[in-house]
This record gives sequence, C-alpha cells and structure tokens, in this order.
Amino acid sequence: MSELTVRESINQALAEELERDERVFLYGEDVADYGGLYQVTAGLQERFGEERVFDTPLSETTLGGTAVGAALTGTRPVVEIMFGDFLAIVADHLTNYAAKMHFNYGDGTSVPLVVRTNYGAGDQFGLHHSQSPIAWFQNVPGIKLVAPSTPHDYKGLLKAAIRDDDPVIFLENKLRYETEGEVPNGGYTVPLCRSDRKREGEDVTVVAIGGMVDVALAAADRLATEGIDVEVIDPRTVVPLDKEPIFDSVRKTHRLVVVHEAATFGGFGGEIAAEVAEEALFHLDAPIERVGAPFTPVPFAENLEEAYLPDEDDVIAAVRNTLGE
Amino acid sequence: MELTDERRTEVYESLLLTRRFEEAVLEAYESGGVPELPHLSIGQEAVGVGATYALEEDDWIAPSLRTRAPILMRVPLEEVVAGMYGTRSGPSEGRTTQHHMGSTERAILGTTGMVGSHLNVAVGAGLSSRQLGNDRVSTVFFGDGATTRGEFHTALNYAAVEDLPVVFVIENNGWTEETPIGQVAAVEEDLIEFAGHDLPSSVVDGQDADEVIAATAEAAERARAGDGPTLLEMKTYRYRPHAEVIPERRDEAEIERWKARDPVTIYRDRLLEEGIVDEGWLEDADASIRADVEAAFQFAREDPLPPEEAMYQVYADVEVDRDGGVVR
Amino acid sequence: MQRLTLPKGGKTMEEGTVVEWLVAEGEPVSAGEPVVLFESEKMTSEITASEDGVLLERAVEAGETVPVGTELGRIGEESDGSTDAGTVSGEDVGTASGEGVGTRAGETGSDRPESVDAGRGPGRSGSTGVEPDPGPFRAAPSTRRLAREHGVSLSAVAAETGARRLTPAAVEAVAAGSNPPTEDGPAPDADELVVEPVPNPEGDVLGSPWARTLAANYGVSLEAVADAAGTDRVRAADVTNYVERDAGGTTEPSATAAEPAVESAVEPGSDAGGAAIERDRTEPRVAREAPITGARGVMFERMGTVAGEYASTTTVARVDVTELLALYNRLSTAWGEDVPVSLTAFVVRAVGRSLPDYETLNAEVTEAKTLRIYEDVNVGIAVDTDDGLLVPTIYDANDRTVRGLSREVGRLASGAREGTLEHDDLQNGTFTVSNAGSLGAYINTPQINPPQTAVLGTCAIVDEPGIVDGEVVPRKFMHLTLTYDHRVVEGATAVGFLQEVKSRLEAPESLLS
Repeated sequence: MSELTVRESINQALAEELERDERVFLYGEDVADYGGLYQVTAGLQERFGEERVFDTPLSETTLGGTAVGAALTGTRPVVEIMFGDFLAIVADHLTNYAAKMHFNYGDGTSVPLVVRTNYGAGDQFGLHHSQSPIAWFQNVPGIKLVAPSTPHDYKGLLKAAIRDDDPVIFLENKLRYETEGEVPNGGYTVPLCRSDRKREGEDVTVVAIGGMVDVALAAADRLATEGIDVEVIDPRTVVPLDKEPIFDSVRKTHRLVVVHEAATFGGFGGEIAAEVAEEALFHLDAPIERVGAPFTPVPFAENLEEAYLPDEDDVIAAVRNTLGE
Repeated sequence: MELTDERRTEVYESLLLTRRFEEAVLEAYESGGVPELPHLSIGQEAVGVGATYALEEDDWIAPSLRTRAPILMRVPLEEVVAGMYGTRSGPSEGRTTQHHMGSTERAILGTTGMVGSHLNVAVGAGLSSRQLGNDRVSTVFFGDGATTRGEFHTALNYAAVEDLPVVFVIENNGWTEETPIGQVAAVEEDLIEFAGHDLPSSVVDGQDADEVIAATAEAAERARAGDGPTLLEMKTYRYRPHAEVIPERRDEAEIERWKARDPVTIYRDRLLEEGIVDEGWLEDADASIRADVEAAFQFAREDPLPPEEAMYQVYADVEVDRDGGVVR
Repeated sequence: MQRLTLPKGGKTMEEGTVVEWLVAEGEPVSAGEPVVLFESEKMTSEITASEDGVLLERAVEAGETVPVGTELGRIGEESDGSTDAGTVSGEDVGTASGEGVGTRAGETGSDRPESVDAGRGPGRSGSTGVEPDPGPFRAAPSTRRLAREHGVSLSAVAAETGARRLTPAAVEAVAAGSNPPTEDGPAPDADELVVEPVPNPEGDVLGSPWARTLAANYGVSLEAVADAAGTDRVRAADVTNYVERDAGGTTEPSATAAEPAVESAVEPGSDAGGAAIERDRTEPRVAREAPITGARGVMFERMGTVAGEYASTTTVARVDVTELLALYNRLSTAWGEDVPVSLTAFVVRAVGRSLPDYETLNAEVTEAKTLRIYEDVNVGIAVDTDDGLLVPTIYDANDRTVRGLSREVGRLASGAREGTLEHDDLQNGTFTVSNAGSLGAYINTPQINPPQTAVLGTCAIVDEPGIVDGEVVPRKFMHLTLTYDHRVVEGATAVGFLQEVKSRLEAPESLLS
C-alpha cells in the first residue's frame, strides 16, 4: 500500500495502461508538454513519447469527433476535456455518436473511448468552470458515467474504464486532486458498474456520488457521536447503475438520503429516489431526502458558492429529517 | 491509377446499380412501400462510385446519408434494402436505417443525423491509422451545407496540422436542403476557398466518374505517403429534392441542364465510343441489375421484422436490464 | 355531540348485539362513563361516553343484533336533539368510539381519539350558539389527548380561541381558565411549532410504508399506535414502541407464567416413580403386545433406514432466546386469540430464511445416489400424537410471515392430533423441525426424516446465567440441535447453517419483516 493523492493515482493509472496496451493514447488541450491544467498527465509525454501523448487544438469538437473515429477503428483514445462544462461542446459526439454506435452497428463494433474531465464547485471558478455534468448524460443510453471518490477507486476505475469496450465519461472532482488515500502497489482494477458500501450503518442509507462521498462520510462520523448509524453507498458508476446494493441497504435502514453536487431538481438523486420508490417503497419509514444544489448556475461570490454547494450540515439535516427529528 | 477495360465496365455497373436501386426506392416510396424516408442521390452517382473505386477495399469510408454508392459497392444489396424496411436482415436488425449504417468488416464508418458530425470522426480514423502504423486512408463524403459548420473547419485544421491520411470529398450539389449554397457560404465561386489551410485542394467534375477516380486516387496516394489530407470539391447535382417529403421548388431548366450531363449516360457513351462494350452488353447488364434490385426488394418485403430483443444492444461490456439496471 | 356506533372489534366482526343500556334516555352522562354493553364474538364490551351530556336517544334496544357501524344512540346537549338533523357522514361512522373496543374495551376505551364531530357546531361553552359553522378545526392526537386529560372539550377550545388549528398551548390555556394565546400572540415554544409538511386530512392517521408493513406484521392497528404515540404520522419506531409498551404491558411477565408452551403436542407423561412395588425375580410380565403399525410403523421403517444407511451427525448450538420470548409475549397480547403465537413459527421462519444459502440441507438423497436439491422450502414439523410421530408440512415456509406460520403451525398441530389432516399435509417436506423442548429435553438429538438430509431439533427453554455487556445476568436459553447426513453435507455447512439460524433467533425482530 502507498499513500497517494487522487492526482497521482490517476497519473499512475494512465501510465500503467499506456504501458500495457499500445492501442491506448492520450491527448487533449495542454496535456502533453505542459502536463495538463491540473498537472494530472505530468511526465507522461516524456515517458511515452509524442506518439502516445500529444496536445491538440483548442477544439472540443475535434477531440470528441476524432476520439469516436479512433475508437471505432481499433484504438483506445483517452481524451482530456479541460473542464466538465465543456462537455456541452462534445455532447453531440458523445450522445449521438459514441453512445449509439454499438446500437447502430450490427457486428458488435463498440466505441472504447474514455473522456476524462473534471467538475466541482468550491474554488470560485464560476458558472462555466464548476458544473457537475452528471445529469446531462444520465439519460443517454450507451454512455457509461463514472465518478470516483477515493484515490483507490480513481486508479482502479480509470484502468477499468480504459479497458472497457464502451464509451466512458470519467469525472474527476477538481477540488480533491490533493486528497490522499491508500492505494495498493501494483496493478489492479475496480470494476465499473458496481456500487460500493463506503460505510456500514443501520439507521439511514446515504447514497452519495463523487466528491459528495467525502461529505457524506464526514457527516456520518459526526452523527455517529450521537448514536446515529449512517450507511454510505457510493455507486461509483452512475450509468448504468448497480441498483441492488442501494435497495438492499434501504430495506435494512428504511431511510434514504441522496447527495449530489448538481441541482436537486432533475438530478441523479431524483432517479435514485424513483428507483427506490418503485422497488422498496414498503420498506421506507420516512420521505426520501435529496441533498443537492439549488436550481441556479454555480455562483461566483465566496458566500454564494458556499451556500450553493451541499455540505456536511445539509447531509446531517437531511438524515435527521428522515429520522423524524 | 491504371484503369483496365474490365475495371471500367465495373465502374459502369456500379453507376447503374446505384441508379436502378434508387429508382426502385422512389417507386416503392411513391407506392407507399418503404418506411425509411428516401434522401436520394440520383444524379450524384459518379462521386461515390468514382471515389470508392479509387480506394483500397480496407480504406475507411465515411459516407453522408446521401452517399449511397459506396454502401452499395461494399454491402450486399439485400442487406441494404432490408435496412430500409427495418427488417431482421438489415445492417443492424432494424435498430437503425441503412442511412447511418456502419460496418467494421467493410470499413464503413457509421454516421448520425447531425450533418457533418462525421468529419472529425473520419479524421479520428486517420488518427488510428497513424497510431497503429497502418496505411489505411480515411475518405469522408459530405454535402455543401456541411462546409458552413464548425465541424468542417476543425476537421480540416486538425487533419492538416497532424498530416493525417484523410480525403475530404465535398459533394457540392448546389443546394443546402432547399437553399442555394451560394446564398449561405461566403465564397466567390468554389467551396474550396474555405480551405485556406495548409492542405491541397481542387475542384473536380463530379459528373465524370473517370475524373473523380483520378482526383481521389491522387489524394489517397498523397495521404498514404504521409503527406496529409486533401480537400476535393466534386461539382454535382441531385435530380430529386433534399428528401422525398419536400416538394420540388428548383427551376425546371436548372434540373434539365444538369440532366444533360447525366453521370450514367456520360460513362455509358464513353464505353460505347471506345468500343469497350456494345449495345447487347449494355442491355444485358441493365436487365441483370434490374433483376438483382427486384429480387432484393422482394427479399426485404418478405423478411420478418426483428424480435424485440434486437433493440437491447446498448452496451458492449455490461449486461443491463430494460431500465438500464446492471444485471449482476 | 357523540354518536354511539357499534365499533368493529376485530377483523372478522361484522355485527354485534346490544346487551344492556346502562343509562336511560334523557339521563345525564359524563365523559368516561359506560353507556351501553354489547356482545360480539362471545365477548361483552362497553361503549363509553367521550363527553359530558345527556343520552339523547337509544336507537337500538337491548337484544337487537345490528351490523358494525350502526348508530346505537347519541349523547349531546338537550338542544342537539331538536336542531341536529342527524345525518351521518362517512367520517362519523366507526370513529366515534374508535376501533378495537371488542378486545380491549376496558383498557383503552377511554383513550380513543375524540370524534371529529366534536369540532362541529356551536361550542359547548361558547358565547354564541348561532354563529355559522366555520368548518372543522384541526388538532393533533397529542392535543386531543391533552384535552381529554384536562377534561376540556376541543370545541370549547376552538370557540374560545377562534383558532381552527388547536395547539396544546391553547388547550392548556383554556384548561387553566386563562386567556389562551391568540394567533397574533407571541410565538409559542419551538417544541410546539408542529410542522406539518403535508396536510393531514382531519382525523386520518398517516403511516410510513414501513410502519404500515410492521403494523400489519404485528397485527396492530395504525390508529391505536398513533393514539398511543400521540402522533398522526406513524413511523416504524412508534409501532415497535407500541408493541413493546402499550400492547405488551410495561411489566415483565414472570418467568414461569410467561414461559410459552412450544406446541404442546402431547401431554407430558405422568410421573410414575412414586410407589415402589416389590416384584418376583422372574421374567418380566408382559402387559400387552402392541402392533408396530400406523404412524409408529412408519417411524419404525424410517428410523431403521436412518440408523442403517445414514451417517447421522449432530451439532449443537445454545441460543439466547430472552429477546425472542419478550417478543413472543408482546405478540401474544397484540395478536390475541385470533392467532396463537408459535415459537416454532419463529424457528421455521429463521430456517426458511437461512436454508436457501445452505442448499445441501434442503435436499434429499435419491435412490440413484444423486443429491436432489430443492428450490422450494417445505418444512415438516414433527408432532407427537397418540399413535406416534407425524410430520405435517408447511409448504413454501420461506415465503410466510411469522404470523402466517403461526396460523399454519396451529392448524397442522391440531389437525395432527385430531386426525383431520389432508394427504398433502403429510408429504413433500424438504426439511424437518422437531421439538422435544416441550417435553423438557435439555439436549435432544433428533433423527433425520428420510430421504431428507437434515433435521433441526429445538430443546427446552431454561433459565441460565448469561453474559450481557460483561455482566452475568439471568437469561433464557434454548439448545438447537442439527442432525445431518454427513455423507452429503459438509460439517462446515451444517455448523454455518446452525449459526445463522441462531443469530436470526437472537435478533427476533428481523424475523418479522
């Protein structure tokens, strides 16, 4: 085991997969010589050469389109989109092309590409460099959406995403590149499409995704001092969703809180709530609580952004609500 | 490119097959018999036939939805027609129409309903050739309207800056759906004026298959040699509206003027003139192609609709249920 | 005004007979006073007045039998009789004196929610009697209870405060004779700000889905739970609290009295060891020769097979059943006589839950020497009868609730003793539970019922010292014995299964869901 940051674990995953599979290549704006805006790909061009790691024009249209074309024709491109907000530009190639070609072809052809991008409010980057794009893509059959929460999962899930035959949007929380955690030495993967129980508890189930897993765990620790035993489920892959562990947990605790970073309305939480209402309604002992952002763009001012971003207190309040407190 | 007499008869047969196929589509559509809305290329056949003929069989082709000739040259006719009917033997078991079909084995890149979104995809295929170290060229067909999209400029720029093996073929039929291209494109005369990039470009007579073959072969050779992409503007014309639901509103004289330079007729006359074929051969070829087309339509009409399971092909690497839930 | 309607005392009660009126027409009655006795399902119960007033009318005379919901009479002000047209709205029926009277009239009759009708019409102590009805007021059950405790009419509170939503503070104020806080007055304590995110239609009790599920499993009414908990939004904890405290009683039943008889399938044999009789030293005299036929004949054959062919091996676990017995006692009270709670049902429930993970135990050895693993879980329960052992079958035991299993155990046990079981009742078992505990066996090794592969024995429940949180305390224990055919069942499988059954029985609440 080593103590690695999220940034280091992503960098290791990329290096190991570039090493393992010659079809893998890494490209994007400023990823090569500069090492990426967040320095996630630092040192990789030096190690693997300009043929495997290279810069591109400032054109997400080119990145999206060429990644689809390359993936359709025998390679495994890993693209970095500088901010998740820019996925709106690539959305045509992701939703109409990448997501649909396996369906469109009759010979099993698929689109094994990975789009790495980041998201996350909290650093005053404002309304066009902070959004969480999960809900934009959760209604697109054919896309896989992965949002890890720990260095261990970042590394293992990214390696699995690169090896996966379907198009994967890999979401990195930009506020947590420095977060440290235990990562096994040597190669390992964490399977896509498998939910993970990050904390075992009896009283309330909290389903949290991406950066909100940390928030949920911190809230759970505080509640534990009052004897409230919170279970935290991290779906890790949002689409397609591994639902059963969530249902099992709710059947045990009878209470559900869903936490995510984007606006509550129309978000991932509503979908989880609906799934649980369909599958486990008669096990619920309280209305389902959703914790998310208000229905506004991400604001700039320090206090406004703080009010926007869900935090521990929000999760604790929601948990208390489900307990009728 | 060396064209033997035999290969030139094959070029003619491909032109004629494309023509007879689309005439049959129109006839079936007008009698209420085809579910897929036809976007016919009648009048433009020489572009697709000639360009495809100039390429190797494993060179990637990215057709637009109107580019039927390469599809017909690489995919069995019955499969294409079944694709129009949405039946089980179609290219994707009825999941999509043949308009957007893709086939890795036949080196055809699937496309979408977003005009021009396949340009960067074709550039990506060129990128694969470079990454994998093979010499497969990627040729992309698109209409004049696509040159007004950002896709066109970003794709040209990236292919040129990276010297990728791509041939860009504008099928300039003069009309962006129902608007003349000159009205919406800021060029003096030709769309290649848009190029301005560090890449060779030329205007080609799109009604003459031999001209198309020669220009495309030269571009493909340049690409294969590692000298980067070429932009070819094929001047051509479609005899039908953008799609069959749209009434014809172009000038009748304009249509007749182009019909006087019909690509099938031009090639037939040339083969006769040069003594490569005679009238008997021509009649025989036409009868044979008509019979093939008729048989393919007959096959598709009798082909059953797909089973419901056919549509549950969304992910290649995980099993999901009807509602996208992961099956463990 | 209070309408005296015939309450539905139990799920099966459809009608009742008025036994006796305790108050004559026109006589005054006070809140809490019994007014009329009725009989239903062999039980006599009373209906009490929920407010002070006069018995205005006896609509049904003694001796008459009427359907549930029928208005038996009315209590109110003298004037009510002439001004009230007496139309009975849907809400009125059955709510005036609450449900559950048939079985618990004496304990809880005075603890019922007041009729919603109390909020209609002019208030008893109001200054004006002719104001138009401003519509119903709202009061949470806790407020209603408070009003009852103070002997204050809610309509009076409504009339004096002019509020439509009555708070506990308003009730206290009226009871104390002081001026109640008005709606414009100072804000009440935070505790009294009853936040009601979803309007609750007056009088209706809302239950969370899980609370409803639990209540159904315990067989208690949601309204009773709501009333006891002082809420109109019942959660699961309210149900379990109710079952523990309100229905089960607050005092621990004494150890001897509460010991449930586990399916007393047969009377324990009488002790014959008293008088010593001197006998001749000759061969023993024969009392009689008994045929080995019938059930005993079957036992003879099967046990012979087992002894000769099976590699019978037994493993034992000691189970702390203290909580199980506490739950048993609560349920015995809650379910009443309709469903006699069965400890065997809990054991079968635990077995049914556990067996699917230990498939070689839910199996049989076929003649062709294959192991036939069953998908269905049909649990046989061994029952002693005068003619020998019978093993009737509970089909699909893993799909039944404890309540359902209790019913089935009761049916099969009495059917076995009375000889009324159907042919199907006695076959198709895939696993057997045998109870020697009712006979007092401390540890008993049961024998497998061939061709099955295992049998679970339950033994006597005994008071023994246990260790809880490091302290030695009196606990109740029961041994479980699992005999399995070691030819086809690994020891680890058998032990794992037994431990799982043990842990389920030690967390008995989990068996109710």
